[in-house]
Amino acid sequence: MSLDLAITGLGLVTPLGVGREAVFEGLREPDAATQEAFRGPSSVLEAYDRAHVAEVWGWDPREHLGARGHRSLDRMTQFMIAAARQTLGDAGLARDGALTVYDGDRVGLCTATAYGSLDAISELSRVAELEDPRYINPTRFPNTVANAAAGYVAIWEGLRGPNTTMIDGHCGALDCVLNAATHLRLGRADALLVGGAEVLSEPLYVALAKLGLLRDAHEPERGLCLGEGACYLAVERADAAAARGARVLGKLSGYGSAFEPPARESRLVEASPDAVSRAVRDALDEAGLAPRDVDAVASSHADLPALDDAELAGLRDVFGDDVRVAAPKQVFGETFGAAGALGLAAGLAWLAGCPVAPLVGGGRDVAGERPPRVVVATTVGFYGNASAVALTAA
Amino acid sequence: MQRVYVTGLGVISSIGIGRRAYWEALLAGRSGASEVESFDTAGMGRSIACEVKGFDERDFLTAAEQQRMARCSQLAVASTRMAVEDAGLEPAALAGPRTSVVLGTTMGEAHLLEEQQQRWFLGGTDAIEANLLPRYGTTLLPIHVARALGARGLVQAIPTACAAGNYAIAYAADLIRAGRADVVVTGAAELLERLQFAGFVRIGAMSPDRSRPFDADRKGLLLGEGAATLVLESARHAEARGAAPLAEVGGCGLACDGFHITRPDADGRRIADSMREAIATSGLRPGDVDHVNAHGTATAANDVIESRAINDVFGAHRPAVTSIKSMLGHSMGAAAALEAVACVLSLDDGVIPPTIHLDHQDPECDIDVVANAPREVPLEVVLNNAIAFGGQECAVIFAKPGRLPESADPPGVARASREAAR
Amino acid sequence: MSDNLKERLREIIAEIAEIDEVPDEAPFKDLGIDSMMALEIVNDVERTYKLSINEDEIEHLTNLNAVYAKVQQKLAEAA
Repeated sequence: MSLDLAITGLGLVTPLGVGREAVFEGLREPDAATQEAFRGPSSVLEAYDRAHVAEVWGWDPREHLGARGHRSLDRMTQFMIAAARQTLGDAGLARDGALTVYDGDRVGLCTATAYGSLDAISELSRVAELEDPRYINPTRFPNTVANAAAGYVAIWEGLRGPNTTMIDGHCGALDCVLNAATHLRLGRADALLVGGAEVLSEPLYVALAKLGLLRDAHEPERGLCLGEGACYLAVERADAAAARGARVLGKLSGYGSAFEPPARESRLVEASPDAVSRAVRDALDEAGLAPRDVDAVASSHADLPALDDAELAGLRDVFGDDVRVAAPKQVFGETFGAAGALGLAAGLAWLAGCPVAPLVGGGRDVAGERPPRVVVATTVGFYGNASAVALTAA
Repeated sequence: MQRVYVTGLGVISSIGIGRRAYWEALLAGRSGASEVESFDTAGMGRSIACEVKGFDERDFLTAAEQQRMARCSQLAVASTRMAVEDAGLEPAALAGPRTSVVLGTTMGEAHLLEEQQQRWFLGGTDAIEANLLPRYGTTLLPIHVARALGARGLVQAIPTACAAGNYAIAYAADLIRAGRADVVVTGAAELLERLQFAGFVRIGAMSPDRSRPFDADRKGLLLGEGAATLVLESARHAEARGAAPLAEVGGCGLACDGFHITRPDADGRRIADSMREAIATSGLRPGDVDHVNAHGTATAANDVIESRAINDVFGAHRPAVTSIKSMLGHSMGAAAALEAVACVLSLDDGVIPPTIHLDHQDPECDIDVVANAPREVPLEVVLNNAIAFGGQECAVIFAKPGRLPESADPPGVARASREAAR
Repeated sequence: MSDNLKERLREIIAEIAEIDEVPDEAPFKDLGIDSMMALEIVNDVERTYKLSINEDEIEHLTNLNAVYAKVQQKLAEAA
C-alpha cells in the first residue's frame, strides 16, 4: 500500500537562497548553481583558507526572524525556524505568523540532523576547558541537545504536535518520511514538517579534514565538499490535502531502509551496495512501482568514492543503466542530516521542470524530454546504512 | 492490528546491572548517588551524581567490538545482549531484515567528543586522534547494536533528550504494528558527561545532595547514566516461538509544549494531552490506569506541573505515582527507557518501586506518591511519562499481556478517541 | 572606574535583554528579563569580571543597581 502523502509546501535555507522559488530558480541552471553555492570564501570557516564549502552566504537572521529574540539561537536553529516559516507559508498553512488551517496542536515536526549540536557543544566545551566550567552560557546550554532546535521551531511557529528528532547519519531526513507517515496514518497530526538541517562548523570541518575526507587544493577532483542548510516539506495525508484544495507539489509514495554491516569484524566504515538496492526495492514496492517506472534518482553522490561506488553499484543492481542518476550534493554540498530532504527538494524541482542534473554514473542525457514523473531519492551512510524514498508527481 | 509484546529486558544502571539486580535495588529503595568519580568536580559547585559502577565491557563484548565502539555504544550493546538472553532468543534468531533497532540518547558518545576536543583546544589539530573520530556520532548506537545482533532492518537513533527512551519505544511499537518489523530492539543509553553536568549546575537545576521528587524541600535533579533495552516482538512472532510475554505495549501520546526551551508550560496542558492520547489510543479510559511512572525530575517546576497534569487527566481516580529518579537520578536520554523497564517489572511482579527521600510531600504535588517503601498492588495498566528539554512530551502505556482491547490504535481514530476520553 | 563599571553592566543587560534603555532601578521583570536571561546576565558578569556569584545571591539581583552593588562588593572582596 502506497504511503499516499501529499507534499503541499517546501521551505529551504540553502546556499542558493531562501525559499522554494529562489532555489528552484537556481536549479534551472545547475552548473551556475554549483558556482553560486561554492562562491566562497567561507565566513564560518574563515580561519581555514583551504575550505571549499557551500555556505548560506551572508545569513542575517533579522531578515527572516525579525529584529529580536534570536540572539541565543544557534545557526542551525535559525535556519530551521526560517525554513519552517517558509514551508508553512508555501503550503498555505499559515499567514502573517499564524496557522490558518489546522490547530497548532495538530501540526508537528520531524527533523533530522547528524551533527547539529556539535557547534554548541564545542563552543561551551571551549569555555569550560580554557576558562572555567562555571562560565558556560546558560542560554546556549539547551543547544547542546539535538532536539532543542526543533523545540525552538515549535515555540516560534506555534507547532505543538508530535515533535521528533531523528539521527541516522546521511539518511535521517529520508527516515523522517516514515516517521511522519506513521503519525499521519494514525491520526496523531494533520500536517507535519518533514526534513532536516545541518550547519557548517569548525569542529565538523576539522574532524572531516583530519580524516582526509574533504576536497582541498591538493585533491581538487575528489573528496567531500561540505554544505549547510535546512529544508522542510509540508506533508499531509493526500485525502486531507485534496479536501482542503491544497496545491500539491508531489507525493511521497514509498520508503525503504536497510542495514548491511561490513563483513570484516575490524571494519567500521563501509558503505553497502546491498543496503542501497534493498532500500530502493522496498521503497518501490511500497509505492507500487517497478524500476522501469523511475525517471531519475536524486542520489547521495558526494565525490567520495568509498560511498559513491557502493551507491552506484546498488542502483545498477536495481535499474541497470536505464536511469538518470543525478547528484544534488554537487550543488548543495554534503549536508548529512539535511541531505535527504534536499534530495527530495531537488526531485520536486525536477517534477516542476528543472533539468535532472548534474548527472553522475553515466546516466543517459535526455535533455528536452518530458519532466520526470517518478523520482527516487537515496541516501547512503558511512556504516552500511541506506534509505530511499519514492517521490511521484501529483 | 498486531499486538506488540515486551519479551526481554536488559539494564545497566547505577543501582544494579541486569534485570534482577536492578529490580531488587529499586524495591529496596537504594540510591545510586555518590561523589562523581569519572571527572573532577572541583570548583563546579556540585559533586554528586548517579554513576554506573562495576560495569566491565569485557563481560559482554568481543575484543573486536570493544575495539570499534566507544563507551556509550558498549553500554547499549551489553544491555541488548542481556535483553536478548532474557527474551530466550538465540543470538542468531534476530539476524536478517525483519529485525530493526531504534534507540534513544541525548549525547551519545560525548566522552569521545570531549576528549578529542580537549586535545584540539590544548594541542591543535595535530593532537586529535583521527583513528578514533569514526567512533563518534549518535548514529552509531543503533548501528553497533544492529551489528551485534545481525539485524538488517531500519536503524534509528532518536535524540529527543529526556524523553528519548519513550520516543524510541513508541516508534519501535509503531514499526511492528505497521508490519515493518517482527522484532525491534529498543531502549536508550546515556553517559554522565562533564559538560552536561556543568550545564545543569549553571542553569540552577542540580541538587547539591539528593534527588527528592515531589518533596517540598526538593533542590533539583541529580544526573545519572545507564542503558536499558526492551525486546519488542509482534504477537505472531512471540507466539510462534512460544515466548511468554512480560507485558504488552499500548498506545503512545506525542506532543510538544512550544512554550519554553527548558521550562514546561505552567498549565501542563500538553503533558496532560500526551497522557490522554496514550490512554485513548490503547482503547482505555483514565480510570483503567493503575500506576504512573512519572518523569519526576525533582526540579521545582517539573514536579508541580506534572502533578497538575496527572490530576487533570485522572481527577478523583488518583493512580499510584512514583519517580525512580529519586534513586537513579536523571539519566537524560536513558531515563525513560530505564523507567519503562521498571513499568514492565511492576506489571510482572505486582509491586511499585518507591519514591525515596520523600519526607515532606509538597502540597502542590497533590498526587498519590508511593513514598519511601514499595507498594504491592495488583497492576494491569501502567503509564510511563516523559517530558524533554525542548518541550517534547511522550507517554507510553504498558499492560498485562491480553489486557488491552483488540485492535487498539486503529488508523485515523486517535483524535476521536482522545476527545471521547476527555 | 566605578561609573564605567555601571555603564558596562548596563550594556551587558541591554544586550541580553535586547532593549535600548536600562534604568537603574527598573525591575528586570518589567524589562522582559526572565529567569533564564537573568542567569545569562549573571554568567556574563561572572565571566567578564572573573568572579563568582552564588545561587542565593542571584535571586536578589532584580535591577541594575543591585547587580552593580553586588559586583562592586565582589571586586572589593577580591582586591
